[in-house]
Amino acid sequence: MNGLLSLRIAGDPLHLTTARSFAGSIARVLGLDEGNRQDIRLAVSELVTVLIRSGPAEVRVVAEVDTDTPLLHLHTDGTLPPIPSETVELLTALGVAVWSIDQPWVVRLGGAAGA
Amino acid sequence: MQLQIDRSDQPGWAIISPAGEIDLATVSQLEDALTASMGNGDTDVAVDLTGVTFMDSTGLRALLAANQNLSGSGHRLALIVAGGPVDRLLDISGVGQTLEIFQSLEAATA
Repeated sequence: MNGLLSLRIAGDPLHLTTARSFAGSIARVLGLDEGNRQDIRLAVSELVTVLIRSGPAEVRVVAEVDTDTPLLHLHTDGTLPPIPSETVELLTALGVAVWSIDQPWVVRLGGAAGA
Repeated sequence: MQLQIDRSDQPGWAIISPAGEIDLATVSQLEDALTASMGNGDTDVAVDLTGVTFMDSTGLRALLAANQNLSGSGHRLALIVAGGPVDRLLDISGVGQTLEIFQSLEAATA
């Protein structure tokens, strides 16, 4: 599989489970083991939670799966909020890096890159 | 529904058993159960997380807040965890020094 995979959800906490399922599917496409799949589901849940708390109407997750370093792009229809320091610490522990200068957030899946 | 929570009691313990996923959509159910269990103020609280298939930091914050409240009144919060995503979250977040974690309800309430 190559190219982009995209998910668009309403900015509602009820759709977090959909975002996690999407992340799990991406991880399977990347051939990751169960531990890394769980880490990616957690990372995406943390980041989409931050976005949903900022009150957007929708959140879009776009995954690049044909590169050496898999990336996720997280978009909203509003202004991106700051990422809380405790979330950054958790993501760092998961080996996930996030760039958040402007739309979109770009998420490098560290576990995937090393898989 | 993503999360179901059962509550039961043993002498000296209120036991909360969530099953499903704990995130921003469901954490209020866990918070309500914790608040209700702490309400009488004279028991320790055990949270059996072995039925939880996913938990993110929203759930962890609820547990840390409950632990702080219980400690302040001289009581304990015990978590029962048997591997999986919850164990991973507790491990990477480094709360093992703060929260009491057991592998079985029997060990927690012994």
